[in-house]
Amino acid sequence: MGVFQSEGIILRSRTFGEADKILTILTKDRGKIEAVARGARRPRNRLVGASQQFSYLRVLVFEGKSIPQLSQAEIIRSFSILRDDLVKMAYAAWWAEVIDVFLPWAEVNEEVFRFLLAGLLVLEKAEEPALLSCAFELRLLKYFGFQPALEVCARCSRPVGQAVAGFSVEEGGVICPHCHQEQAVKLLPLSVASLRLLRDLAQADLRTVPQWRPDEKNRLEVGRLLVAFIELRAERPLKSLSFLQSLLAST
Amino acid sequence: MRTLINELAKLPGIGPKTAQRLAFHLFTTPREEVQKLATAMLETKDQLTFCTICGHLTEESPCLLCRDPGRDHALLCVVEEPKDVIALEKTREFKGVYHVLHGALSPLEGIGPEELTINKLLERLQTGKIREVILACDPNMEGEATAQYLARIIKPLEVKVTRLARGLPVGGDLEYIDEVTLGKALEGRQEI
Ligand SMILES: [Zn+2]
Ligand SMILES: [Zn+2]
Repeated sequence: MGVFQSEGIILRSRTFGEADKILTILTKDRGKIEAVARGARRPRNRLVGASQQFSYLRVLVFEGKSIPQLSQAEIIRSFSILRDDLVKMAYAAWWAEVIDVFLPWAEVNEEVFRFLLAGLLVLEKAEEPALLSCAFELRLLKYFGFQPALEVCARCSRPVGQAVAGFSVEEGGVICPHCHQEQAVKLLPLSVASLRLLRDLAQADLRTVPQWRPDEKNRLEVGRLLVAFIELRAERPLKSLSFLQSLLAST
Repeated sequence: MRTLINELAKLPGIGPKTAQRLAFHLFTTPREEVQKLATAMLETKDQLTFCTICGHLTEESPCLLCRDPGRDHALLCVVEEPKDVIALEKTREFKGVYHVLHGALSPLEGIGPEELTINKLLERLQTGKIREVILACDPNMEGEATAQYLARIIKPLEVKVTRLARGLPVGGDLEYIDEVTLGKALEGRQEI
């Protein structure tokens, strides 16, 4: 029992009871937590604005016997642009879900917190978020210990240089031609240019990525294998991904 | 009693405590009253259907609103749920007709356009008889996503698209309004 204060970003919010919301908040000091925002669906409630998806807040959380309660929330940045732009909203929801899936409850991870915050700030201004999302996904995977092997073969661990047979989602990275010859595995195509793009993205400063103009073909190749890589490790259907994909397909 | 409490708790907006209170209330209510309630519930369930034109709840399709020649059938208000139609009707301000989506797009729940009555809406718009579409989605992220999406697909049809203003609650104190609402109200300010 007690009260704590932290900075936090709302990963998801769902309705609860008559007028409440249950929020999943990624906090800086307590990791991912769940808290109920009492009355947050009543128009004049103090928590209405703060309890919106992606809001960056300073929160005061009361921990009682049951679910923790959000007792105060001050908006540091509302990220309203991310809720006003459908495509950005879909990407932000996808990022939030990836974090929600891979980050266990209450595991403090300030790196992920800061990275999400930085990502959302770049997303606000990005004109074309697809490549930015690739960079974001790749870095998140690293934070969660799922970094795909890009420099060495995922099977024999020998350095691969430019020459790879392809990308194995199951084995977790690039596969060298030698290993592939010995025992064929299911591979996703990865051209030399796409591999270079993937390696660049793994090192990239997020802020510069929206200005990159890689070949569309390479971007799609990289995007596809990252999504497949995440889907396999998530071990559950990713709802925001299907939304994002149906949105991108329909517009 | 346990069964009743469990069933009541399944209703939207009813928690276990409220369910218990309702169950005790029913227990102390005269039998005829309980009978009336049960009959009303079943009758409603059996008699109501969705209007084939607008998707609103009705006993007879098309619904009274869609059949009313006094309403402006070129002015179409899009809402998420039948209860939103009822809320708007209470204002007595709106004289057009409705389209009920039966939900909202949800990026996080993966509810995409194909799960709403959007195709039906497009069919109605393609008749060329609609002059203006008013988007009256909920002022939350799902409603925002839905409004954005609809605006995108309706605009090419050269139909005027408007949305409800996001403003301050009537009778409120400015200092108690949350930052986001106040920000939106400032953004949508009007000349007087
Ligand atoms: Zn190898
Ligand atoms: Zn109707």
